[in-house]
Amino acid sequence: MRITAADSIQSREKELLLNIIDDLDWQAIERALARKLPLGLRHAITSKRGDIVVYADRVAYAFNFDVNLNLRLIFDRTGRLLEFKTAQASEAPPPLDVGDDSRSPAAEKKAAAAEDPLLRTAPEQVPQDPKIWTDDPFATVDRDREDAEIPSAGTRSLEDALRNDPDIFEEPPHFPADDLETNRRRKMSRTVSELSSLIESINGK
Amino acid sequence: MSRIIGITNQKGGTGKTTTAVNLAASLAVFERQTLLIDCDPQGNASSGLGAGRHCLRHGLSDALMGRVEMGNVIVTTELDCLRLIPANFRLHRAAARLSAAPDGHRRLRRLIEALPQRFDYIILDSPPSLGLMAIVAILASDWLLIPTQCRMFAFEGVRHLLMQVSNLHKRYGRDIRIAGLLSTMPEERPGHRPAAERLFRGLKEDVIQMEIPRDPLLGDAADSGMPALLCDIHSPGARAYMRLAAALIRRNQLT
Repeated sequence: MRITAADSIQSREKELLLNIIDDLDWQAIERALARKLPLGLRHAITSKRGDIVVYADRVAYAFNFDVNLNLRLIFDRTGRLLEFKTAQASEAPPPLDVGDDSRSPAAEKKAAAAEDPLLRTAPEQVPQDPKIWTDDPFATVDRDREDAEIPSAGTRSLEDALRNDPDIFEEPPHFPADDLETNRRRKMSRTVSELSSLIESINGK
Repeated sequence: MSRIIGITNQKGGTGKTTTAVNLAASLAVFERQTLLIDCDPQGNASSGLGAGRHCLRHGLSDALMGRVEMGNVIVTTELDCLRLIPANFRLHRAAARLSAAPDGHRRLRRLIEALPQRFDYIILDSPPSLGLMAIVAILASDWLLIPTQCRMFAFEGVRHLLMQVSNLHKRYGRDIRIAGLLSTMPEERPGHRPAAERLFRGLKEDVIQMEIPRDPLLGDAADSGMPALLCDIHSPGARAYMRLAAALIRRNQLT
């Protein structure tokens, strides 16, 4: 029995993913990229695709971007980075500078792994699909392949996860309480989306 | 053919009358024949153009009740290309009569269509409600311009308004479209992404999106009974409304 339209849920998921992209700490991502690759982030970043996935039995958000090279970020619901992969190598994720700059990246990674079970297990190596991932860091992905499946690294789709484990949302891990500003922005984004949709539907008649 | 634009928002204090008066004046300065119809029984748009209730014999209420021809209640203003149909408190009585009349909700539209004079733009200043007079003004419009503050309560009001517009379309078959959203009385809060940006980002390009800056001159000009551009055409508020008028004219030239 359907109790709501499928496209209603899908459009809300899409909004959620778009809002998350807006709120990413791009400075931290840029610093991580600069450390990983000897180039500055001068190029336009376009989000290719976002998805809600399950990573080590936890809900997480996977985003793929074009930065004249392929970049894959997976982070959990607290915003902690789980995976950071470029097209060049399938190495362990470098830590993102989201707080204390005085600690070295290695010390931070170690401390993060010690306190968070999600990071204790090293992610599986990404099987490199030579048709998508290239050695050339400046290669852009063929647009025809925009919808091509990016090989997963220990992830599975949310649909599959729900099918096999419907209790996946039953006991969410403890997350720090949202601050007032985050809550406000979230509500504002949701309302603004509704207004845009209403205007589109009125003007489209 | 006249382009009829309703300035509407059910919440009070969002800048409807300020927008109606200053937009109408700006269109007139661009030499577009403009008529401002004050549909608010409070009559602030009329006062804002210097037409105080004590010096008027007839107004919109008389035309709606059929006592006077619509064309005979039009008054001139300080601007050559701007005319006004004023309102006063009697509009409440006219609204009550319209609610009892069959097709009362369409009467204003019919009166506008029957005007002998030709206008490029007709601006309607709606009352701050979704009562009958506001519905009549919305149904008389082809386009709606919605001034709003960028706060949650204000957005919820806009959402309600948009849902009502959608219902009116279904019920009466009127093709009313949203011309644009105006962010009025913006707040300067360092470190916060402006809510107006979030609002506008989700809108398509054919919907006018503009921020009207806070400008004390807008209030001072209204107190003096004139549009802001007649006090100081270089003030931020006056310039914003000129830009809005230019955007409307440009868009209408493309359609």
